[in-house]
Amino acid sequence: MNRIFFLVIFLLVQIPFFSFGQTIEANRVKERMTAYDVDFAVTEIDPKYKDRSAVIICQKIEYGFKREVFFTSIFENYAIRERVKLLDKAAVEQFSQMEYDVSSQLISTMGHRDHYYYIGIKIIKPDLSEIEVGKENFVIEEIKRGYSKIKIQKIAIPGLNIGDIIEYYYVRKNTLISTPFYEFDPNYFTFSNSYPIMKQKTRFYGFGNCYTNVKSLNVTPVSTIYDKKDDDSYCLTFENIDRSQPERWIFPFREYPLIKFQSFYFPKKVKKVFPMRYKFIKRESIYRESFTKKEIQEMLDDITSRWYYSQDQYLETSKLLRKCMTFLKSNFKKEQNPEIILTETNSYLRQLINRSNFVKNDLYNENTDNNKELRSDVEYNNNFISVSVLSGVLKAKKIPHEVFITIPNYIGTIDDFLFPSEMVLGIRIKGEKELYASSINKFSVCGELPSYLLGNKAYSVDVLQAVSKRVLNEFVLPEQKPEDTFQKTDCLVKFDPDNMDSLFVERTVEYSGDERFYYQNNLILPNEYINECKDEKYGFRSLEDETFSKNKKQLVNERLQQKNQQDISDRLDRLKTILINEFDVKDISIKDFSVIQLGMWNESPTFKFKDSFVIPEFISKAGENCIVNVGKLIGGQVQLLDNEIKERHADISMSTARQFKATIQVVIPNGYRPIGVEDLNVQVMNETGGFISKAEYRDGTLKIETSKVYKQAHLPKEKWNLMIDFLKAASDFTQKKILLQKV
Amino acid sequence: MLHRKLLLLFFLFNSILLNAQYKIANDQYELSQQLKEKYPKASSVITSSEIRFEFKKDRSGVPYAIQHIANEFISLRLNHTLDEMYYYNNYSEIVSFTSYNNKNKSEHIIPIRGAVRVQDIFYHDQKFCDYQLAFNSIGEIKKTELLKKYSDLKYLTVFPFYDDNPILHRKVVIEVPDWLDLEIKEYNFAKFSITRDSVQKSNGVYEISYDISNMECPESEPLSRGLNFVFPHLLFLNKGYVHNNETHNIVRTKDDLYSWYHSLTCEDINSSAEIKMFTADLVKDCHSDEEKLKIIYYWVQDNIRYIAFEYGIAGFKPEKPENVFRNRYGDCKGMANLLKCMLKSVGIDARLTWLGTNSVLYDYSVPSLSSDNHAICTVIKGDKKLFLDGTESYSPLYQNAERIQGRQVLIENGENYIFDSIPRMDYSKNEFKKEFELEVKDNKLIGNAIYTINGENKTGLLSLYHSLQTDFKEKALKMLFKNSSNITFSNVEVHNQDNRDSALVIKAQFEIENAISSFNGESYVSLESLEKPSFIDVTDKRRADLFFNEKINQNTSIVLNLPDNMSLKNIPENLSIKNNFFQSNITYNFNNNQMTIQRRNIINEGYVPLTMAADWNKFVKQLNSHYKNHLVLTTVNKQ
Repeated sequence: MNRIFFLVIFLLVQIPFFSFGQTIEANRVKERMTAYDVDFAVTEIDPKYKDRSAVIICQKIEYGFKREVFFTSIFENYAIRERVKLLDKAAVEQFSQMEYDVSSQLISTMGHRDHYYYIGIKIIKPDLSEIEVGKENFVIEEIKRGYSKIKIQKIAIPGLNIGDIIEYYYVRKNTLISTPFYEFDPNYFTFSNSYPIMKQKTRFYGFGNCYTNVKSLNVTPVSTIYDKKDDDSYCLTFENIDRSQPERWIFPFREYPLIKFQSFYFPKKVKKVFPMRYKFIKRESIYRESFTKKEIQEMLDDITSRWYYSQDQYLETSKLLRKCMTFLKSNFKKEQNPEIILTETNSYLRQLINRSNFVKNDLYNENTDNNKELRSDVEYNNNFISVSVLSGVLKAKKIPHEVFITIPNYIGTIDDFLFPSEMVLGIRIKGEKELYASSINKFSVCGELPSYLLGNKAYSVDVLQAVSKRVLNEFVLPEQKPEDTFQKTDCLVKFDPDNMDSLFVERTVEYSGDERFYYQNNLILPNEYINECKDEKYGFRSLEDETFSKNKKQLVNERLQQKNQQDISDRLDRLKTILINEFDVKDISIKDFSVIQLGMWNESPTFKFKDSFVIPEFISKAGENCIVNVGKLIGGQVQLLDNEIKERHADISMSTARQFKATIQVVIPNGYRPIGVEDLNVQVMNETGGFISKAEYRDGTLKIETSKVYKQAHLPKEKWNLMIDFLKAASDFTQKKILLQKV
Repeated sequence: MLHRKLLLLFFLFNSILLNAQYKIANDQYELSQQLKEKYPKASSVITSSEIRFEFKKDRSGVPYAIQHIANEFISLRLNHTLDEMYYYNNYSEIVSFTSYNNKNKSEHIIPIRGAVRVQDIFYHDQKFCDYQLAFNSIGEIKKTELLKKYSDLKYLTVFPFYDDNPILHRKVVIEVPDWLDLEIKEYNFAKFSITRDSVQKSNGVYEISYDISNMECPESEPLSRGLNFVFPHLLFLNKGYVHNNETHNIVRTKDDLYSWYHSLTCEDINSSAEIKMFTADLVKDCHSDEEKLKIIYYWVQDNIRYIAFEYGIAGFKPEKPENVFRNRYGDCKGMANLLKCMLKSVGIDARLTWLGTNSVLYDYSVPSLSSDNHAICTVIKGDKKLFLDGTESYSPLYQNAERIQGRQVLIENGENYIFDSIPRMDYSKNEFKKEFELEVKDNKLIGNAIYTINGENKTGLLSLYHSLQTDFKEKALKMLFKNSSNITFSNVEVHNQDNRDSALVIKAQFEIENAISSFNGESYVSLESLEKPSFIDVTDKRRADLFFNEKINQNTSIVLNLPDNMSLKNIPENLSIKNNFFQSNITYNFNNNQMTIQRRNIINEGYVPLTMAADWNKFVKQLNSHYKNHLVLTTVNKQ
């Protein structure tokens, strides 16, 4: 009883101390964040920015780590101070309400973090008088679920006018408690998406076991200072960074000025627990800007000798490797052909991962959609696991192969490599026909590299060689030809003769390469996928074949049937959305759909399906005649905006080179003849791509064959005008019409 | 050992796999299949529901209400989560919630609670509580029970009969004790299956009950005002109560409502010396009251941003004018209060005024906190009244927004009030005039466009224009009237963008590619890129009237100058439609090789009732056909 009493008293006594401590800290932060800085004393903007909405006079970012006296915890600090001149009403509106996430705790698998926030805002009037925004303008909005709470600090800024300067700071202080290791989130900080910046100062600081990998990209700092005297800081200063221009087909991280950084708390004693991650730390300094070739080779050597990323991953890899070896032993015991081994292992492994996911997740939980635009941690692990299993199999079979390392092209080149999450591994087998393998997705076939690796520079080592004898190879991953990624459509179009106001369309559509994944994920049912995998050699059984008791079996079968019905109905909804977007119409009525080929085997790598539907919008009456917008039957085309046609700032980066082919046969109804067929012949072709259309009318059928090709995935901005030529030709074609003249 | 582990793992896996589902009784499954046919878009349906309202008094005699909600849901889908969402605020709370699974065993659900984000309101006290019910199987049943308490009966107003899920059967019971003066208003019962019953019980409770069957789940319909205009609901008018033989008023009449509002206003005009000084300086060059009115009204519109704090009583109590003035922000009440204060300081009789906008179904004939949602300022000069809405942007002095036109108002008048309504404006004030003059050149259409914009469209466009970043304005204007990808605007000029009292005029040049298709010496010209009909059809399922939130007055003239070697093959027939709600006149004239098309579309009152659906759809079809019509040009050989 006494103990409890004293504990309560002790805790009650702590509260005022804690809040007093917080006030002292808030004052300290305020003092630091509002300290005189010559760049934050500027009130005038560069005249070249006078017609902008607002100008960031100075932006200062500080990020680093501290250990404070009497505390065993480590503090991660992030601070931003910004001074902005408001030049129009839009800017005043933009800055009149601010919101910050001030959630106080983050509990993740990587550890536990407490967060503290400090925010201060002042307004500087044109007469240089200053008004501090008081706490009466601050309110907190909360969303709470169980123990987790999201807190949003909302601030209404009073008395703001055009011509004012708003200066504010936001400081986030996180405490890392009892964690042996912490890998902080990677940051890609693009300086400004809205306003030009006159001066930008970024400072990193740290100590001992806190490391930061940092690099500025697409912008050159006016100064870089590495200062070991005080708190081991690394400062970058930039001037006159203009607003980033959003454009079509662009890899922002390769075009926009940005600083990327990621930090690690990594005491040396845990080096052996996380050996692979330890390679990311530059031991002689707490800052790393890049990797040398030697360091990359060391990393590859380490990866390929242990294949150890984490305990969970290691167990998963070992399990999968054992299964793959058993599979090969049963079916390809004497096989030594690398292509067959790689292909069969790839197929087996792919299904092993995805079929079990279906059983576990899809049937009994919320629908899990694996179609993600960017690589996630899941894919990152998938890459590490799949490459380690494939390499393990090849190693066991004593098949010479290399393991390569690169990064996704939308992030940069291997020379920009800095974070664990950027790393992509793969297998290369040299020979007459070079073989490649990397991440595995639900539908990818062996040898098919993800589009974000195509044409990338990579480094590799020969795995079968002793580490001491290995050399680091530098090579470029193969590019894809346009014909490797295509969409091919055969389309039969008929009219309703009684009511010439809609078109009945029957199509057979085929997709290859990266283009197909979106359609496969949307249009292939889990049941169809499972059945496709039921090859005897794989030994996979469907749930229907599992041996359950009679009652349970009935339950499972009923559920599978229900799930399939639900999936069919959902698929039609998704198809409708796809078609409405593709043909840019308000409504479409689907008549039929069926999958012809799933496109997940090396011998049949294209996804093929049949559909039929009615489009009501492509016909208009002209007296007794009809005008048919046949051009729209090739589907929606890129519509260039006026400003896009005028200028291009960034190089062009698309996922792949690709081709779209369509054969459209329009059955002309009796009593009509088509006029204007010759106008459907178009030919624009240049080094960047092209659009060709050929049309002829014979035996009551108008046949139109079109082909659109993007010859290269990446082009310098100087070639943009050539691209415009064929993009515009294709876009203009969608406006082409024929007249059905009553005979 | 290994075998044991494997066996254990096998059992664990199977138990997870198979216990995750319940054995669903055949009748449940069959019911779910029937319901799926009936409600194909629904994931779950409320099969039965009972909602009961009880009224009680606390120890000090203050009445409160308890709402019991019991729902039974059936799942129509595998593996889905239903969000059972309840709302509360400073004057209500969720006391308890229990849910029961398919086996009727209670299950623990941790709700998500948080602030509701309401568009345009910066901060308020409306909160949500989301109980997520996870359904695993088709035909699975879950039951929920919830208790909600309303601590102040003023705030218990609207009760809807519908839900986010279709309802097979719902019973609503209201137990009215004899000490409570409660009037219940019923809305939109006619098109739904609802029966009412009442019984006087021996304990002095008068019990009113409603049985609702087959209530569909409301779908959002474009151009509609809100669910309360269409779907059945009750409005509770808690007028007063008796305690210890004394009668206490809650909101009995609009007098009570006004008294309460008036008690929350701050009359202390003397304290705003800063405002006085500022206003005097603002109007120093004005020679008339009208000039002063304009300069003050426009200053508030231009300089006070709409940022609303509506937390607790702040939702009803106007912010002090000096705070609004200093902060340069406020909500409608705060802005109205500042306007009043500034106008009074220069000798103009200005009053606070309460009203419900046209998004509110009720008027002051049913006085409750749901009867209004807005505050403005009224200027009184003799018999004349001028209504000033500080929340409007770029609104001229003598024009009121559609949302407040025709609405009843309570105008502040000391202890009393003046009851009036805001005059309606004619559709002619909303004219949106488009003039296109164009010619055929190199197989393209090129020409000049003049857009002359008045009324509601003008204020909307000016707000948009001024909210754009300076360096984005030109680009945005070029996109503004781009109906189609093949039209390009250039040399855009904006006139009167800072003059509220004149029409907004936008002039531009344009070029249309691929608008001409030539067949056998005939050219088919499409003018769709210039203007497309923007009216939608009324579907069979639609329940709400078409509500445009403005009186539509479109006036378009297209002049196509043909080259000498071309002529018009045939002139389309004119169109003329007119009824009480909408009218259209399209005329075609061909003179001196010049084709003139005049189009005039008017929706007189800004809405079309559902009863006119057939006429409306015919009208839309005819308009579409006329707008899509190609002009056929022929080549003529002139000697």
